[in-house]
Amino acid sequence: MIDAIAFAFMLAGLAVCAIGVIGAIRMPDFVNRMHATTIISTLGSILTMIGVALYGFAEGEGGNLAAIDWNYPKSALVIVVCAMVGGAITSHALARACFRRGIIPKNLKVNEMADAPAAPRTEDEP
Amino acid sequence: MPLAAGFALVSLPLLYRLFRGPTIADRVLASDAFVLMLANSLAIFSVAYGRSIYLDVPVVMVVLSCISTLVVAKAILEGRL
Repeated sequence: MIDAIAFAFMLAGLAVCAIGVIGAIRMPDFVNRMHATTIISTLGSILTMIGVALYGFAEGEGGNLAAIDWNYPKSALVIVVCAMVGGAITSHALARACFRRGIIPKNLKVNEMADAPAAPRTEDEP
Repeated sequence: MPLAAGFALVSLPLLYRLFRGPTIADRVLASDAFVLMLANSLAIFSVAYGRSIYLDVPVVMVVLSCISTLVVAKAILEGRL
């Protein structure tokens, strides 16, 4: 029973990841693609890892609590937390670096970093 | 096992974005998403084989994958590493 629920969660994670990949291919701008690939690192990882964690509990099904494999839930929790935190940090850093270096999408209505001072560029002396 | 193969197949179009992204940021994004999908696929492989010790591989991959993106962002911003 728990096996089937875990399989359904993993299948939902695969569907969400497919949506993210389609967005990464089809979206027109860099910022839109970043929006699409964030889906993979949050909802896709969460659903897949819920399935993996449930599989650990499936081995103790039927009252045999000593047979629960706790490695599955623990590793799934670490993966989910690191994927979410790392995804947020890297998205922020990458978007900020691109905006300050002039990699800016064309059809931008409001650009709040337009009058920000240019980043100090530290070139190595040749 | 079919689910892990499905993850591998779904992550293949990201290689297209990795190959011809207009900017360097697109390539970095595609690489990051590819690593995440590969980690999900490996987690499902460990479930399919029934060995929980294999889960250490996707844990290390996910923990270390954000460092490469941060390094490239710093290189874009400052012009050097």
